[in-house]
Amino acid sequence: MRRCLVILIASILTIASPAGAYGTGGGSVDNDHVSVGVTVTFPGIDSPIDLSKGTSTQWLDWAVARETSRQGDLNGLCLPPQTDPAHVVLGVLFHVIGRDRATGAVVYDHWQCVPISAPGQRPGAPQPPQLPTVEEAWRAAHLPRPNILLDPATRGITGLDTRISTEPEGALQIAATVRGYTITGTATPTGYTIQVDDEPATTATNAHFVFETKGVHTIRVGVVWHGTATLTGPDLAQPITTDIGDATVTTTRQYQVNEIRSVLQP
Amino acid sequence: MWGRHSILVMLVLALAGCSSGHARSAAAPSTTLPPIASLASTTSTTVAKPRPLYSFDNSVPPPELLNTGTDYPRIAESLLAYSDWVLAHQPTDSALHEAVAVGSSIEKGIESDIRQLRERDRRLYEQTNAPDNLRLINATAHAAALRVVQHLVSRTLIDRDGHIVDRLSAGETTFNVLLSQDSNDRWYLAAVDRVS
Repeated sequence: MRRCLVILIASILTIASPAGAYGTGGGSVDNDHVSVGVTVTFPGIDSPIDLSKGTSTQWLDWAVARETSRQGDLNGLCLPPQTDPAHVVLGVLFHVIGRDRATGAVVYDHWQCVPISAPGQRPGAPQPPQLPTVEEAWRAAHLPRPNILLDPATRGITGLDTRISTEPEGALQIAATVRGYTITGTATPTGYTIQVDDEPATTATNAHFVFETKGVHTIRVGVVWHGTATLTGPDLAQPITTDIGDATVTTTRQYQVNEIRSVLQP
Repeated sequence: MWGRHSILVMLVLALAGCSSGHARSAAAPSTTLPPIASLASTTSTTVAKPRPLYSFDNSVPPPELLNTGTDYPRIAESLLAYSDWVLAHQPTDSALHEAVAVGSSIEKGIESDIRQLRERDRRLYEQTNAPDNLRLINATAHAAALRVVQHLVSRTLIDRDGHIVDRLSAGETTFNVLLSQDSNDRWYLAAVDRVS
C-alpha cells in the first residue's frame, strides 16, 4: 500500500491591506510587497505622465494675439484701470485664448488691456494665467488605490484556480486649492484592469488565474479614472472647465505561489 | 498653413535657413513641377485655367477672403487658403496680416520664414489630393476652434527658375486651428497646431 505524503512548502505572505486612500498621488507607496503608481494620459502628451516624477504638464494651450484695431480706439489702444486720474495711461489690447488640450475646444476667451509703461514702447504680450498643472490637479483628486483581493488570500497553489478581484469604486469629488486656484470637479472610474506577471491585462473587476509555476508572481490591479474639473482663480476672468484626462491608479503586489507535489513511497 | 510648423522646422533645417511653411494649392498633384508658363500654355481657352502653383510676379490674385460671420469652417478654409497663397505667391507681411492675427504664435513663427522666402526669392506651395475636412469644435464670443484634416501630398520649396529646392512628401495630417476675432468682427488665424 502506498501512502501519499503531501509535502507542502508554505511561506505565508502577510500583506497589509491597500484599502486606504492614495495619499498625495505623488508616486509610489511601498508597503513591503505592495506598491502604488499613478499615471495620467492626456491628449497631446505622447507618453503617460508618471505623477511621481517632477513633470509639469500645462492644462491648456494658450494663444495670445494683439488687437490691431478696435472701434473707438487707435490701432488697438485701450484704457486700462487707472491709478492716477491726473495721469492717464493707455494700454494695448491683447486677446488671450485658452484651449482644452484634450479636445482643442476654446475654454477661455478674454481681452486684456496691458498698460503702456513707457511712451512709444509697445508692451509685450501678457503672460497667460499660470494654472495648476495636470499633475497638481490629479494629485488633488486623492484617488484611492485599488484593493487587490485574492482567493486564496495569502498564497496560491500551482494548478489551482486563484481568484483575483478588486472592489468597484464610485465617482469622487475633486475639491482643492492649488496656488490660489480652486479646483472642483469629478473623477469617475471608467475601467479596471487585472494583470498577472507579463500576461495580457484583463479588463474586469475580477478574474481567475491558474498559476503554472511556483514562486513569486506579480499581480497588478488598475483603476482608470476620467476627470473633469473647473478652475477659478484671481487672475481668471472666467471659470475654466476642462477635461483633465485619465489617471490610472495601479496597485502592484507580489503573490507567492507554492507547488504541491505528490510523492509516492513504498 | 504655417502653423503646421513642425514641418516648417523640418524644411528650415533641410534648407539651412531657407524657410517654409505651408502652401496649399487646388491644382492637381503632379510629380514634376511645370513652370507657370507651361501650366498656362497647356490650358485651352474654353477651360478655366488652373491656378498656378506659385508665382513671382504678383500676377496671381489672392483667393477670396471670407473673414466675417459665423460659418467657421468656411472662414477657416478661406484663411488657410489665403495663407497658402501668401507663401506661394506673395510672401509679404502685409499680405500675411490679412489672414493671421498679429502677435500670435503662428505669426511669430512664420514672419521670419516669409522674409526668407522673399529674400531668397523662393516660394513654397503644397499639393493635396482631396479637399480639407474642417469641423467646428466650438466657438465662444471671439474665438473658434476647428479640427482640420489635410490630405497633403507634398510640400515644395521652389526658386524663381523653377528648380525644386526641396520637397517633402506627406500624408493625411490633422490640425487644430484656432480663430481669433477682432473687435471689428474680422476673423484671423491665431494658431495652427498639428495633432497627428
